[in-house]
Amino acid sequence: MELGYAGGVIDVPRTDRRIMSTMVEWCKKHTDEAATSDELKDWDVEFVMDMDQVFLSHLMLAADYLDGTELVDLLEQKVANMIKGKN
Amino acid sequence: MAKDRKVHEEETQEEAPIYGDILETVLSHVPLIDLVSASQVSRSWSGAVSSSLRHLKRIKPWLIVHTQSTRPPYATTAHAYDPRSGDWIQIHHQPPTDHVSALRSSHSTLSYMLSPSKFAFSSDPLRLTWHVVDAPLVWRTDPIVAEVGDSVVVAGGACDYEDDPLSVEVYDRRNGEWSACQSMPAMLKDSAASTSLSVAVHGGKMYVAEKCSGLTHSFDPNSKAWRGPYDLRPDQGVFCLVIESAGGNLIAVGVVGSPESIKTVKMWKFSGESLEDVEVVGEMPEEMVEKLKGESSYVPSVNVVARGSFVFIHNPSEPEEVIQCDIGNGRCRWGSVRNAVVNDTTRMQRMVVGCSDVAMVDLRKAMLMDDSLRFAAKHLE
Repeated sequence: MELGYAGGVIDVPRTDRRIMSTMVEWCKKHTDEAATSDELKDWDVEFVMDMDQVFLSHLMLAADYLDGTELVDLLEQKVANMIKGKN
Repeated sequence: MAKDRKVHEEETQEEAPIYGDILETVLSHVPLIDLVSASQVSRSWSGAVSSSLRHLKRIKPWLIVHTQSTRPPYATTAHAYDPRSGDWIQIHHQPPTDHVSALRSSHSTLSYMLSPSKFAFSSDPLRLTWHVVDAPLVWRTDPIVAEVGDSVVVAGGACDYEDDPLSVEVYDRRNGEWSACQSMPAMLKDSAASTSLSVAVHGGKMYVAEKCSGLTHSFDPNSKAWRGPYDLRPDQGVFCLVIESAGGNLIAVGVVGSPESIKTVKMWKFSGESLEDVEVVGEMPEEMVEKLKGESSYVPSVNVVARGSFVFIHNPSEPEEVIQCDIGNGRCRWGSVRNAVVNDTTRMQRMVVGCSDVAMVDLRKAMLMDDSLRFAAKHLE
């Protein structure tokens, strides 16, 4: 799967189109210079809101593989909240 | 956007297991009370919980706060603050209701209620198990009470017309018997009550310090003898000195200045046979001193509880803010937390503060103990 990242191609194993497009969506939003940090926080909350465990676990692995630390942090907090019994 | 994602999962049926670093990091964000069930998910999760607690976010001592209504039936509430996750937890459990009297505590790990006929005490981390025994022989209104090993020492606080206002009795938990001991040193005769004295249990002894002078004596429940005095006031500007045991040492928190105008709050640690070696541990940052002063700027004394390397300090006249200090690894990390228990109702009630080492095994035991025992995480704002 091509990502067109800095002119190179990154091979991402065991992932699918939906995971990749979700990650691209997150990256696009977070590189938008017009977005304020409060806006990004609210957007992040909605971004993870309906994700189920299966999707989350795949997304987390892919994000971790690509060193997307900010996204991984967000997802880790989401999973922690699910363990806490909140959502 | 969010709705698009509720799509049928034909493509990714199998679950990608969360494990290793990622799982341990996730667990470091989970409060201790929720880690109990997390550790029971599977063997690998149990291992991840232990590893996360050991390497990523260690367990820290809890601040235990009880309030007691001053009207019958003298109902109590119990809350705890966990510095690890910054959560306040409400503990739904009552001390024994058939022998209720004023709830008190002289030092971090023991809470008690003393009536003319009965003495009830609890020293487990969550104060769930209460032991009710016959009261000591001498009636006392305001004694100091400390648990040292298998002994519970009750000293002073006796009324003026009692034979000996300095009398000391020790309850031996192994045989369930009280015995009279050497009385408190005569120089304490005008201040042998919990309001003027501060108590610390350290190295198998009970230390009793006169808050205004810093003069300290030690009591050994095995030899049943008193030693001292030791002068633990390293700074003559200290008008209130409170001792505790923390970071492996006997420490003292001293308030410098005067109750109406405090200058600073300092911490020292003592070592040596006669506590002659003194070292400064740290000094409270100005912003925290301001929180301690509260609205009235009046600090007549401070209450100090500690466990492990954690020290919690608050001003009983302005209890809204609790100042915490981690003195581990030779450093002094200060912080403050809003006391979630303090509100207009509880300000009119008795508040007793303690500190406990709470381990996973204590939480597991508590959850098995009583069906009605529940933990509810209470969040501020």
